[in-house]
Amino acid sequence: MILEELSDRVARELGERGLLGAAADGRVSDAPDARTVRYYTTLGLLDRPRIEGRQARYAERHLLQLLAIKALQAVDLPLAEIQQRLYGRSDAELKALVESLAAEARASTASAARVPSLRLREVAVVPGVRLVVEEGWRPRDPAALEARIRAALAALGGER
Amino acid sequence: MTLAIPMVDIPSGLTRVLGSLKAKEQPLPLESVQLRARVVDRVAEVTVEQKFGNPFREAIEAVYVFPLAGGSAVSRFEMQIGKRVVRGRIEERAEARRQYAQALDQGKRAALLEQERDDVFTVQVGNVTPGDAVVVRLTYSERLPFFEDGRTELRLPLVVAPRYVGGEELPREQAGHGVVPDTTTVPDASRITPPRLVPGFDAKVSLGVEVELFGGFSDLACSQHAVSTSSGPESARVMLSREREPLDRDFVLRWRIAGEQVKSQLLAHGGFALLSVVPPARQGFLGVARDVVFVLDRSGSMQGPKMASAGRACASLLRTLGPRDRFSLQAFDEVVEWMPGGFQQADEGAIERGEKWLRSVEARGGTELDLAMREALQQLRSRGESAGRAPVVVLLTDGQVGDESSVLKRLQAELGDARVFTVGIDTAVNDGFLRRLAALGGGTSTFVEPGARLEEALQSVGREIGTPLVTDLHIDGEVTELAPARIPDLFAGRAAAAFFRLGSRRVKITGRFADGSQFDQELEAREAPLAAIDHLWARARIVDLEDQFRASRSEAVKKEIVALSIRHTVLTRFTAFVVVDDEVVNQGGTRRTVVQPVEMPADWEMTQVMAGGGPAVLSAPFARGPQRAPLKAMGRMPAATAQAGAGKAAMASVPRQLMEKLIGKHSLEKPATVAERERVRLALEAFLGAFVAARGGRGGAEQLEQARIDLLRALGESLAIATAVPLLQAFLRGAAVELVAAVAAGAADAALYARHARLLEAGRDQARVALGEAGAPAGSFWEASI
Repeated sequence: MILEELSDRVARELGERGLLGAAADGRVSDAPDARTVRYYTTLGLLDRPRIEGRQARYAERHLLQLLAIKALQAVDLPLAEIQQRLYGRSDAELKALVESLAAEARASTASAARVPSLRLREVAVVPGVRLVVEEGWRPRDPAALEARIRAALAALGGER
Repeated sequence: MTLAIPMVDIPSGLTRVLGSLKAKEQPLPLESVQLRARVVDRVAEVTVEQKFGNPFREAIEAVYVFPLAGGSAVSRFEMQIGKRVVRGRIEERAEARRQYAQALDQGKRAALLEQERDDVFTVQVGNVTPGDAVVVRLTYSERLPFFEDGRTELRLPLVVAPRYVGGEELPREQAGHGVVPDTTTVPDASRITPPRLVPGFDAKVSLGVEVELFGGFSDLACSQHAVSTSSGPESARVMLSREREPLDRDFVLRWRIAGEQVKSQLLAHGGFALLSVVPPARQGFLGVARDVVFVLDRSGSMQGPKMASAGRACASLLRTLGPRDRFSLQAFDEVVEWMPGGFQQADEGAIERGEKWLRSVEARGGTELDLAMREALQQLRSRGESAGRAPVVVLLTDGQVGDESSVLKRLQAELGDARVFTVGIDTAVNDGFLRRLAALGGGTSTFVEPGARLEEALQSVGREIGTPLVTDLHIDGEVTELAPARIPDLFAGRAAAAFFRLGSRRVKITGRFADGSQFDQELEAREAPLAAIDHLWARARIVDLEDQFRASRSEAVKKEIVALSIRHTVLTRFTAFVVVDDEVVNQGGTRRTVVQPVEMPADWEMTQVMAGGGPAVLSAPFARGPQRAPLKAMGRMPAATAQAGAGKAAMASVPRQLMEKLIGKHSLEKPATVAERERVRLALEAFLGAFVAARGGRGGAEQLEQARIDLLRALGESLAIATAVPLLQAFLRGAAVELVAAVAAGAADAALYARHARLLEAGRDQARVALGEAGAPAGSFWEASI
């Protein structure tokens, strides 16, 4: 593929894999431009393209390399550290990295969606012991609850 | 039994993921570099040891592009695995490369050492398995320069700086593993451009430097490193004080040898001799009046302290001119700018104007040194009444260019009676090239580090610039195979040296002082333990032969270089060291190539530019300023990637995408038929023939024009070939038209032909690739580097 195609594919795959990360605040642009691509090449983070006629041709490895760079930028790693982690890695390693970052991105998106709705209330029972309760929780069977709390305290070795 | 009570779930994925690719203890193949130097009788013998490991999961081939001192004669290469040492052989370069590749395919560990420039080398170590440790060791020797006041210096370069690469990309497989593609002006750019480390990435290469000096000395100083010294009465040992120094600047050690040793001497060993001639002190020597052209490098790589230092250096040299001298000032990047007014008498007013002009020079752009030298020599040639003033060029630069060969070639052709002096200014200077340039130019070279002690370092340069003290040096005695064949002239305060075979014990040196009187000196040979002397002699011979090869491209000269190289075990551009271990460690030979990234040289400006919310972009040393595409050379990429794409040469060719739209993808990808290829090949040969005939005065404009039209027609019939040869098309439609017109008008001179020949060669090479005649992918790329 030529640079424009590579750039498009990077943007698309980043979007599909939820790896756009900080793109919203403008710090990590999703589609690498020609200048950025050149810079990554001088750092050895991106292999040199093959030249056909006068055209630079990029392959799957280039895509993988760019996805890995962008995915690590999305979690705020500085470039020196990105180079340190990615330099000289095989296709398989890059692929594994991109996939696990994508999985984590999905998980954290999911938990991010859940966490804000979660409010906790907390009360200190005695010094050293606190009770934390999700907002909206109502006791249904106080006796069973008391038994469980006793068991919990026992497990912690506080009371028998 | 414990009961876990889940509390709030904190997302911990990130640490898990990064953990799987965590920063390694040793992130890169190169683990350590150890340099050990012994200096006896002003000859240094240096051993460089590089240790490679493999922090990855599969076998790798490690590639490391590194520098050695410019004049070095590399005479030994070996590989060590555990306690086993395997000695390298020197072979013709293509053969060494073949043996290395074959060993790798067989799964054996092997190493290859090649020379790219006087001071740039590549080592490749293949089939390094995970967790393995392979040490390669090379030895070189070098004669150190020295001065009449006893000053001498040892320079151990540690990083190859980014070099400016101009020209058009070559449409063929790259010759090396670097980050800049091969071009028409630097056909091996990919061999001298290693990737760079991002500042802040600790490559964890442990560096050790140890220098032993023998004989009396004083004033030992290391200009760019902290060192600890232990000295006895007749020797000293100098070591780096810190263990973790980055490899980002030359290690430069300067000292003064004891007074009684500062004299001409003749050292002999095993039939070879090294002659050092120290010029006699001549009180009141003024030399003749001079016309000095100062050429100041203001390219992007000079940005920062270097530019200020270069300006100051130039100003302080201006101050050394006398009222009889004249000067003119030039600063160059991709264009050449002159201080208005041409040559000016070096009076107080003119010097002040010069200083003011120098202060206005800022760094920007590329390094078209060839262009700058051409204009400087032109300026000297075209001065009218010179009143016997000696023509002089003084070049102040870091020398960071990739097309050294074309600059040297120009000098050989156009020097005339001018002399060229070079002042190298950098933390990691291209010393090999600047020495070569000055030697060819009949001048001297001096190296200074940017910073406060500059003027002091340049003190002695001023008086030697211009005219030598003694010329026409000649040795009488049983002297054969002198190298260099022409003994350099003697400049005030600076020793000159030559190597030769010596039959007797005595020689007589004669020469001529500037005032016409006779210089002579008789010397008795002293036996010295200079084991390296035959390597140094061979190296000096080869330097001479390389000059011949550059001018003639003669096969006979090439053969002579190869023969000398192999007979005396000295590395050259035509040969390489190869070492193969017989153990098979990587069955099948599957491996990845990992190129060692290197530091940016110290004091080079790294400007972080936030481009449109994009990542930090290196405002490269060769940037002309923010308004222009910054990565002009260092991050140079095929023009096609830079959308704007077509340079001048491409104007005649239609961009591929547009072509695809116009005629559909299919027809473009249809390969050329055998008949089409044959037609183009014949038409090309005919055109080349017509060009040569016209150049030799044997053919006319009509023949040339007919051949041009025929070739264009042949190309017109094969779209597949035509689109693959934009350089040839551009030549045929542009330059060739101009040439035909000039021939018809009888106005085609040698310079015009020379210029056109270069363009035509590039087009021809591109066509040969397209016609499948290129042979090996990058062919003998090394020939162009000489």
